[in-house]
Amino acid sequence: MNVRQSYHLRLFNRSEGFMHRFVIGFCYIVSICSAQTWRPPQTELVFRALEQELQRSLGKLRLERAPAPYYIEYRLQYRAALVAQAVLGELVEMADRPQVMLTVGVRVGTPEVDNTNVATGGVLLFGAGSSRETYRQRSLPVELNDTLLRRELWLATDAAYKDAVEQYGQKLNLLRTRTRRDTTPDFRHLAPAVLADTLPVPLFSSAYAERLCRELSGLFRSYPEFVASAVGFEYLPTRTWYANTEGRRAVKVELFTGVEVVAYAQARDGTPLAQYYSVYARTPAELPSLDSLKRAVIALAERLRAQQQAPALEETYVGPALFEGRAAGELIAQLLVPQLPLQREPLTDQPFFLGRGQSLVRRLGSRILPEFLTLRAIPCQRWLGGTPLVGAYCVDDEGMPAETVTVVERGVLRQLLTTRVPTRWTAGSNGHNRAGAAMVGVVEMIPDDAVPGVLERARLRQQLLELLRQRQLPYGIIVRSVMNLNILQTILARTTLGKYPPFVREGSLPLVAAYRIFPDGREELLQPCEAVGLSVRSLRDIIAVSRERDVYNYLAPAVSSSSEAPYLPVSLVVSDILLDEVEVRPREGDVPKLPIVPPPFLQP
Amino acid sequence: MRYGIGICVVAVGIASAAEKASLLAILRQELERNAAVLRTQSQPAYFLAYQVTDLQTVTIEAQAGKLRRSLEQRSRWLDVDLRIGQYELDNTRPLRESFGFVERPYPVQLPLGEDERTLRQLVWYATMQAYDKAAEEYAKVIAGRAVRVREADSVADFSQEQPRREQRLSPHPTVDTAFWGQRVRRLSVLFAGHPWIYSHRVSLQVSSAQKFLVNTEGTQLAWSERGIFLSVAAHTRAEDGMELPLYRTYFAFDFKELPSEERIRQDIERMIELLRRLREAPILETYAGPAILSGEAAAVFFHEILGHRLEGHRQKDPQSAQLLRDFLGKQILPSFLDVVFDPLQRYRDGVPLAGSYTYDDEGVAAQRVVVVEKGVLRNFLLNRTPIPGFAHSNGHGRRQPGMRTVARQSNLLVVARESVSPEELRQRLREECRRQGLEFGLLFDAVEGGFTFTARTIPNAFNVMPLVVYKVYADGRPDELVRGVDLIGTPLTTFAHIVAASSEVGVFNGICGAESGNIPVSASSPSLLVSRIEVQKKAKSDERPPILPPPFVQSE
Repeated sequence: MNVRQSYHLRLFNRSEGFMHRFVIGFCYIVSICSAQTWRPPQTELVFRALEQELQRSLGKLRLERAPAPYYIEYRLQYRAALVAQAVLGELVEMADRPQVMLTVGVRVGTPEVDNTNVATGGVLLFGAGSSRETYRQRSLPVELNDTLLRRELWLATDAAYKDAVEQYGQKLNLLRTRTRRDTTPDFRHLAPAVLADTLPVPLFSSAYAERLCRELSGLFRSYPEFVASAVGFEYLPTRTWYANTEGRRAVKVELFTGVEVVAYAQARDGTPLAQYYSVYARTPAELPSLDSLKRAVIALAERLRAQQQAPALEETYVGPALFEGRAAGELIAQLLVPQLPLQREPLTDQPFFLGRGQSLVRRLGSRILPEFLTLRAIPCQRWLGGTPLVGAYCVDDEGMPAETVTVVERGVLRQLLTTRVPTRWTAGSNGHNRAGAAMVGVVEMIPDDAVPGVLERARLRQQLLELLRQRQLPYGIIVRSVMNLNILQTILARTTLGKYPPFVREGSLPLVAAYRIFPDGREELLQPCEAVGLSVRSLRDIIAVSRERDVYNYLAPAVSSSSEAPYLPVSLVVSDILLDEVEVRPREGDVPKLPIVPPPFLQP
Repeated sequence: MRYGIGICVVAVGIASAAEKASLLAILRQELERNAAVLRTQSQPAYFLAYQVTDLQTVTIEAQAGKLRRSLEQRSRWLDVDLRIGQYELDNTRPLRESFGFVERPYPVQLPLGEDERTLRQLVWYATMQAYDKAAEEYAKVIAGRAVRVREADSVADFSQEQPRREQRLSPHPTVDTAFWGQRVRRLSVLFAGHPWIYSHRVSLQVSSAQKFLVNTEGTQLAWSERGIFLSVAAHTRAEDGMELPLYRTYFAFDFKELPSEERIRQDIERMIELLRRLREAPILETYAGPAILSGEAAAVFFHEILGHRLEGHRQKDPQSAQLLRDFLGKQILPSFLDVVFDPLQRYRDGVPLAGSYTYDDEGVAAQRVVVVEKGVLRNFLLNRTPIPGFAHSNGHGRRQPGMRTVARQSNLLVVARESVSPEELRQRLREECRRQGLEFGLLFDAVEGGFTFTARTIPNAFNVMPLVVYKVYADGRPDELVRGVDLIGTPLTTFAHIVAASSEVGVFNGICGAESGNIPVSASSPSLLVSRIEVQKKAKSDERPPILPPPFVQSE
């Protein structure tokens, strides 16, 4: 199979109801840039070295009284990283750090039973032993020539092979003491293939990154009552080369950029309040214009200011809730996305790993969403309308073409997202290996327009009001922002010096912008509260969705513990979601006192 | 607790000293605003200090003639020291149930510019967090005292020191990264023809820190610290799996003080040859008998075995064994040895010393401290945490930004009042072997560092990890390179066996890691003859060398 993708940078003025409106903004900067370092090695050089070492190792690498490798794979990545952060108009950090990383995979035994899919006290998770060379995410020189690259491949392959032999021995020992119910092979061979998914890498000016962060963060100077705020920017172009002993070769370029904004304040009673804004794209040119980013930051700041005066939810609310826009995205991101990648439960004698497989897989063929919703993985779709889909890729990290997968068809779970790890439920990969483990890239929700549960946005809100009247509820809940876990644990934790609660209880969603909506249509912003008791099963209780859909780009926490990346860009295309019944509670527990000394520039 | 000494560090840039003039004023203003309120609370903050470290770093690292990385960074960090209670008893009082390493707070990064608005907002917020944390600690201290037996010592938690006011800033140096990039590439390429050296690095790390400190006692300081480390590291593995690393570090305050490229090239060639011989060297079994510690090896030995035990806060920590506390005024070393810590001494025998500074991180002027005089223990290294008999700091409060300051080492100088020539020291070793009826003694030529245990609950042993050890035969046969042993023992017993020192001094510059983070230090010593040391087998990996020959090489 030969998938050859190339596309040109496109800039759009978005019009429909998507949440990010991208306009031509940064293109003049891109053209004058060049501060950023981007000097990846030549593809010919890389493939020649990878192939020579694959060939040499497969033919000759063998320990006495141990099986030889039957399969070897290499993944080499060159990544540039331009990172900036500013506070109140002042630059705090600016860095340009290119890096080269190598990951080697070795299989010994036979495809029926090999060294993988086993967990014995952490070997599978942590890779190399203490004095062994590293072979997962091994850091290589940023300047590479043939000699140096082959040396690194030689050392890493040797270490990966030795680990593989140890794992294989441990697995055989485990198998001697038990009768396997699941006899699915560990691997299946594939035919050779050459894939390419490359595109030009626009470089970006660090001067403009600085200006962007300064100007956006400077807007918070008009809000002296806020305790802390920050604006972060990053641009991470990555080129990946993949080669294995089956003759599979792939080269791809992935581009990722983002702006993250956080602000933190306290309500009059001390309740911690945080608001965030994030926007991600592939290239800085695809980001919203500076003016439009400024408007987003001001909207964030105004919401936080309003929330300082906002009432708290007095008691637990149980009733319908409408998740709009980004909030609907986070709802799906936190409840459903982690369940979609298929993970094979490892053979293990360690209690820690028991039951670590996929839970949703046992519900294949069952209804997990309402009948009017279909869910499709569209990993190779780069745009929706004019909005870039940051989770998109056309070749996965095992060199497999990214396939479109109907995950849920009219509410019924049909397929999960897979890698080349065979399972009893799936024959092969549908191209969802990302950073070494199964992971979502792009998923779209497709509402069936012909069904009554799919409504225009305005009608959806009307339906919520109707429900309130039917159930004689004094008010309902509209959620417009749910805290994102990446934001919570990275930029917000750093900015607040850990003061904002950094953990989220399982089954709860921190609602950072929830509104009470009264039967007469009036809305009232609430202090932060929590939706509790939620799980993927809660999505069966979606009673209606909007016909219009939004793109939600975000950084998703890795699902598998064997992932080499803590967060990966993911794109969701989701409708607004009306849930039949949600339990929303006010924040429980004590709240920190207000600072003893007022902020320095706050007028009494 | 385990402490290590190794190699590292960083920093550089361009920033005028005048540009920083207002930073102290901004810090002072916010300090006074916050302190005025915090000292009136029911849990009053009686002391508040801000330290800002403006750090520029340049790291250039090469392997086989190619750059591994080349980074230039500048960052600025804030440390807030806030104390609740009184000098006599405050929130920092160690609790018996606490663990040795202090919880590290979120680092506070400040903007690189001098904008008052931003700086004051960030400083204020960090102060509020520091107050909350100190208030929590103080409540625990008070509660702990109510239910526990009082400590045997009744010394204050914080010393009273004279305020200091001085501004002595140097601009961050500029680094010609192109020039140094080429040089480290050229040096690293020397390893390229030796495929059995499995990894190697040549790196230049330049660090320049501008430090600013204000406190509520009136101290207001600005000073600079700078260091350049040029490091060479290479590693191979013997056929039996033993790891064989070698390191060489050159430290300088200024580029012109670094050795010439030619000299480093010669050192690298010697390192390669030594690695080759080490791979084939026989393994030494356990041994007890006389040995010479080369100057550099003895220096690390003293840093690990004596230096860490002299750090003042350890004499107060209920978890620490406080091994040396009762030896004050008593003989712990032979009378021909003095041990001095002197951050003001920048060179020894012309070699720059990495543990040099003018003020410590509590704003106390650096001082020369004679800790051992004619073998008698006289003093400890002190920050502003008093210990019995020592009410004041001697300028050894040090930390990495983001950590809480404790007493740390600076430039450790072992000074011999009587010495012999290196040749005579070897002769004395042979005589000692014959006297003990041993075929050979040992020469520890280089060590990579070590660790030592100072906690009460485990034996107070040390383990120093030699890199290069020779058998020195009593009958005068040529020395024989051996491998595979660690130098072990208990401190006071080992000190008692030091019998002679040579006139030749070795200097070790490196980075020391302990409770308050990584800081540059030096240790220097004459070679020492020890009448009895013990070695044990090194914990050896059973990892085999790579199975295949290196690429481009059919057989080695």
